[in-house]
Amino acid sequence: MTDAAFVTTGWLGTGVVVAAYGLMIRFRHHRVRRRTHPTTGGAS
Amino acid sequence: MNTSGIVRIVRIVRIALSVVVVVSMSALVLLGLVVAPPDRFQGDAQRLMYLHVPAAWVAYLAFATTSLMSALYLWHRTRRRRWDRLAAASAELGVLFTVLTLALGSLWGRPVWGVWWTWDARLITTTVLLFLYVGYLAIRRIPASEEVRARRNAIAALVAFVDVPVVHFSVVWWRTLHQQATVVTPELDPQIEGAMAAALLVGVLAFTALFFRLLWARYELAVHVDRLDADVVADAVRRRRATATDSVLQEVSA
Repeated sequence: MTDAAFVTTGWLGTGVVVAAYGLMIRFRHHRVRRRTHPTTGGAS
Repeated sequence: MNTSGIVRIVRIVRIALSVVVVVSMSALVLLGLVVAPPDRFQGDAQRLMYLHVPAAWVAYLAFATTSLMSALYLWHRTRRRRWDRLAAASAELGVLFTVLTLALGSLWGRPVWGVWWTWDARLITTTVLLFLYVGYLAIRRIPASEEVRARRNAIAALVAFVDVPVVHFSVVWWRTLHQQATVVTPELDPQIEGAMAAALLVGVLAFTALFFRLLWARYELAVHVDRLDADVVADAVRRRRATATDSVLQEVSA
């Protein structure tokens, strides 16, 4: 692997991990809100 | 100020924080991958440092936040459920950023040191830190009453934090392969300048803003989950009482 390949893996990997964590929180938040506010479909 | 005013201010602050994250992250990509020159000895692999160092900083910040919130919970005058929730949210983020720190360090180590992993004091103490906080998150799942669990969590968080200064000073206390501090040196004489220093600084700023934005979202989720759990318990108690009342009435009528 070249230096560029290590750098690309690191930067893209960090972006993917952080984005996945953020989306996971958002998805769980939406699911919980849907259960606590069933009539509004999760909307506040 | 009325409730709607506070809600509006909170919403504005949240949007502003999100904007800071997007802008600073964009600046980091530009500075770290385009503007900053390759290192004289490490070449382009040095560009991983613009993520590795901020990730390590945020891991420290997250665990320090967990400790502060835990101390606030343990002190009887400031004991609130919200400190326990914030401690948990921050610890989860600390674990995430510690994993990133180790993974990015490993990716950097392969081209520069020639190995993915070595039994170096900094690497070992960081891995121990990761396991300590994974353990903390596991302890949080042990069933107990709310108060007992929160107090137990707070003590575990304070014990785990002892490893943070050990990680930081490991490169000073032991002879290590890991490089010494570059910015916050014992002589307070930064060994980095120009575009490289700017990229590192912006990286720290961007990751700090990202940490607080994620902490906010994770805390809100914890509040909603606790509310849902309370609703589920209240509903179960209500149904149990209704069933018990029905059976008593049936016995009386019989």
